[in-house]
Amino acid sequence: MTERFEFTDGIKKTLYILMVVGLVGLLGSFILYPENQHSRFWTNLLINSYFFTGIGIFGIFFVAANTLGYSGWISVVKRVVMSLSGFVVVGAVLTLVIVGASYAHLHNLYDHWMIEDHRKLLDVTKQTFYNPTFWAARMVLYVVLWVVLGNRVVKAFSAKNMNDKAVYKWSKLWAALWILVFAVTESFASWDYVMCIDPHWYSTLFGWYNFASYGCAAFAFSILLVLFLKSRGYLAQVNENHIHDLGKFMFGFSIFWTYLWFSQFMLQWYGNMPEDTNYWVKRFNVPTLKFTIFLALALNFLFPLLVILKRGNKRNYKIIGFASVVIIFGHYLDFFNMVALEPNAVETHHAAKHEASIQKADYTLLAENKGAKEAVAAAEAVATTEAVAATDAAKEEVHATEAHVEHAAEAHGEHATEAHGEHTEGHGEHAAVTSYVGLGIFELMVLAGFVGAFLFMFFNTLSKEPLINESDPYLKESLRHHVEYA
Amino acid sequence: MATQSNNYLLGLWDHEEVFLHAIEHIRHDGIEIYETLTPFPVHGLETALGYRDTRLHTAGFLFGATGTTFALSIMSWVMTTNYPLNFGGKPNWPLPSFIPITFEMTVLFAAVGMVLTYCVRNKLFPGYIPRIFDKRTTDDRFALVFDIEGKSEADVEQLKAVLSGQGAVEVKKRIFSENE
Amino acid sequence: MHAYESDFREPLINGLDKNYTKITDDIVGPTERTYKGWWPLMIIFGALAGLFVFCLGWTVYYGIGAWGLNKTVDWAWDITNFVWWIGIGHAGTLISAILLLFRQRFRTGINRAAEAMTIFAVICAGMFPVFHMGRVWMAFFIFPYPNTRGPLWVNFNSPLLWDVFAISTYFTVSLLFWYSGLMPDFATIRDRANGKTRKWIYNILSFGWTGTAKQWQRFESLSLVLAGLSTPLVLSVHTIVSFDFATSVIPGWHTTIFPPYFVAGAIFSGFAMVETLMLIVRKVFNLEDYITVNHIESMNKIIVLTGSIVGIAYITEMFIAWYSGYLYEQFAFYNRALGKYWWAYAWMMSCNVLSPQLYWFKPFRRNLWITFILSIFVNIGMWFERFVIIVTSLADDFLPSSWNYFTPTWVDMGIYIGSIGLFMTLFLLFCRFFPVIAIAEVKSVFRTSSEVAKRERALKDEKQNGGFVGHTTFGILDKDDK
Repeated sequence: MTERFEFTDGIKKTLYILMVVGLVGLLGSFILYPENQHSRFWTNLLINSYFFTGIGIFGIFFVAANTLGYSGWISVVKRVVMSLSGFVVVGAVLTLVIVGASYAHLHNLYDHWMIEDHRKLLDVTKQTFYNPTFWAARMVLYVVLWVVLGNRVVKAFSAKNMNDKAVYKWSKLWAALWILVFAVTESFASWDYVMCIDPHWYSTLFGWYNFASYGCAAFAFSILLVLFLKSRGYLAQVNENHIHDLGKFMFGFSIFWTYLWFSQFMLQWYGNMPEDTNYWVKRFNVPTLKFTIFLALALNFLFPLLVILKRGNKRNYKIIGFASVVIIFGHYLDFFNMVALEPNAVETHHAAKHEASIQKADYTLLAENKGAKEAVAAAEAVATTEAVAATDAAKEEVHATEAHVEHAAEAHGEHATEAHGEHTEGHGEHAAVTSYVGLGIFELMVLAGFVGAFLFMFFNTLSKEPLINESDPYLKESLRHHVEYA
Repeated sequence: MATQSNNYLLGLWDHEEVFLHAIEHIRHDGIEIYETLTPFPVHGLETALGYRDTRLHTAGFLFGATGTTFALSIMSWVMTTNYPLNFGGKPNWPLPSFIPITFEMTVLFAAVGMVLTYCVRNKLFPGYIPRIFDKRTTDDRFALVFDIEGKSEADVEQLKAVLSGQGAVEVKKRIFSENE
Repeated sequence: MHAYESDFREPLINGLDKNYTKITDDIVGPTERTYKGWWPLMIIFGALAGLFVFCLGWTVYYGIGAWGLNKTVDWAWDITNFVWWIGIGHAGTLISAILLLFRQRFRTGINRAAEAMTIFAVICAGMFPVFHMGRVWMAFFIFPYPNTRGPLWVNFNSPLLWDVFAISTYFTVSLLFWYSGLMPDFATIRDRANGKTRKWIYNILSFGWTGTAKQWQRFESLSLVLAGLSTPLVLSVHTIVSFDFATSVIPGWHTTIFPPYFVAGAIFSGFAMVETLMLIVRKVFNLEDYITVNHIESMNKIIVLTGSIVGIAYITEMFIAWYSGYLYEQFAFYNRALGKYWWAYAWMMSCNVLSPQLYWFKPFRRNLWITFILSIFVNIGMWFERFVIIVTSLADDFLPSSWNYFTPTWVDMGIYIGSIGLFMTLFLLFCRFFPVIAIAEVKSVFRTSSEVAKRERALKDEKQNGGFVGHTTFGILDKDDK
């Protein structure tokens, strides 16, 4: 019961190799893609730092929630889940690097409001909230809280004499505190890390949505790591019942993620308001991104639904292990889709131009809008009188901004065609400043590097204490755990 | 009813753990259990009795899939073929709009289908009059029922001894009259 | 194979005199005799149910003008009531389904009554949209079916239609879930019955259940799959209710957080209603040993959790409205908090967000009077939440000509108060004739979670440790960590 994980040189070596691959990826993207202040490098850095830090803080959150929910089954895998937080300190440092570099204008991730000229174009409220100093202070506050409080909470959960009522009670208080802090910092952080890249767009459930993503990935990592430890002869007490439960959580969170994805997308699609839909239209206009958006949906929803719904598959180490890998990648993709576009394709990012383009309703409508399509097609057919009628039809049918209607009315058809053409040409025109917007070899290399670093920090944390806390009052329940039903 | 036996031997237990052990022992001895009655679902009972897994959930999955297909196809047909109208500029095949109803119909079909299957398989319907071996099996007794039609008195006595030896608190014959 | 449970857990069935027969006696008891207080309550709430019928009759006879439906905002009353009741109707399925999946054993004591409550609440909720149609005899028009009016179909793009599907599915599935659990318990009542008629009725109700091993095996499989289906279903129902608002582009409504936040609010109000009813039931029917303070405390924890989630959502909405820079959105929220309906907002905030914060502290969580009062507060708060969302956004909408200060008519009020009467009447009937606690389920946790079982284990430990009374002895736990 007091077995400890030994962080052997063999494992370290593998992880070093991964980290070197990541470094090469980072360097490569830095050198080969100098466009937009090396935007490919910086987006990679941001995506991965944010993703893996999120997984780390979720690990603590999950143990805290289970502590408050009196769950017994988790005892034997508690240390593994908690140790995911080992990476948080690295993520914190990288966050500070990103914040510092942003401050020094070394990258363009937050140019929308980091550059004063652009910031002035924003609404006053956004200018206030994304005042660079205020933002930086918040970012520092998050990472400091996560590292300092996170460590304290993990320490409370690892107490040596947990079967002492007083100690146990304290661990619950820390758990409650962490959940409070996590709930607030996590939602704000999701805005401050990602949503603010394009401050025109906002979604009130963004924090929840990111939370679900962390969750899926954190469960996937827990499953993989438990399976790895078992394959090395550790954690003999963990059996398919515990894996089954982790698998159920992974499945449940995948469905939860889909629910939030759908709620966000459907409401914005349905409302069809330019400030909402521009986020989607921009992405759907880039073929590779459109592909990765649907790929992420397939990997994060359809795949779990078809593969891990079944009881037997959740208890099969090979299948659940494979599913975990897929789900980790799927959620990486999700963050990739959120971050990668604007900094790399500056024409969608440039504040002044962008503001204007919203006004002109270039990005007003989501694809497949029947009314708009018909209007455009009719306009293309020309013949002025017909075209006027067509614009009238457009007036009626298209849920556009006022600006669009005026614009279309002025245009008498030809103009509408022109606008449409301009829009499709857009990418060619700005090709000079568009960095690589797609999932390429460098993205995968950097991801591998971060996985290496994440696992390194994980194993390092894990090796410091016994794998199972013997004094856990629910340990005996966990050892006898048997999942009676699906 | 003609082929059904009317003579049974009943063993009653009052503790489920003793009961489970008794079942394992009795099955090990190769004695055939006619029926098992408990007041609540006893964990591990179907394993002890060697029942195979129920396929009810598979039926549920199939019903659900039917619901999904039904909902999606009827909505697609209505909105694109039978009655295409422009609602607020939305496409005629607005997939996001279909999701909620598709989901609800999946759940409805799966649930209703499963419950009907469950009632049919479990012989449950209002007005069905079951044979009640002992009234206390819905209260606090765990019962094993053995068919003793055509068995010799000696065999029955031996069976009784086995049951008592396995901790049965009560062993008794239950003979139904023809119209019961 | 031995049932084991950590001694850190409090028992779910109190009393050292308990055994299976005693459990049956205690729970079936209320169906075998009329308790004091049942008739007076029945008369009061029956009269209110009569008021409900009267006011609905009035509405049907005179038309929906009786609800004062002249301006947009005048719809607010019935939508508020509809959403309020649907929200309350969420706890039952949540308790039986989600808590089943989470293996929370405390659900066994309260799931039956909570599910019954769900069904009655959904019945009340359904009344509002059905009667707001005016000509209720044409209510079947809302269903898609081939008809004689040309190929005229319903609009599958409309969230209101999604609601039709969501609520009818929810009602059906909840009913099936509830009833499939009731069958074994009806069989228990049948087998105890003395009178022939009583036996006959309960046999019909039990569908001829006997409790064979195969039946139980299928029963468990069914409850599990139904739980798996009901969990997303219960979320989807309130999500779709929230879509009614969020898909429209009214300031204050069109926001993506509505789905999860409505769901959290629904669970919140549902648990509050379960508490209100359970605190009465356990007292009137002497079921304190089965619905223990431990149960109440667990529910209070869920209340503080969901209350805080709702609070965070209020703040998020408010913040994003400010942040968005969208003037109308900003006004909608300013108007909500400080406009002419500020008092409703104040009720909402203090009942929903502030008052549950008391439950961070154990003494409050375990105090039954405080729980009772707070549970009613939460229900008031959740009613005002819907009122605030609906009224403040509609009262001053796009057309100044339809601006209005909302006041309900007497018919409105009669229907609302009457719906509470209907709900309580149904609930009282349920308490009188149905087992209010799931007998079989409570029995199935008896060996692990009852005080008796814990005592037995403690004695066994003592024997093994050579008479040493260790810290695991149950008596110490009783006083210490509650």
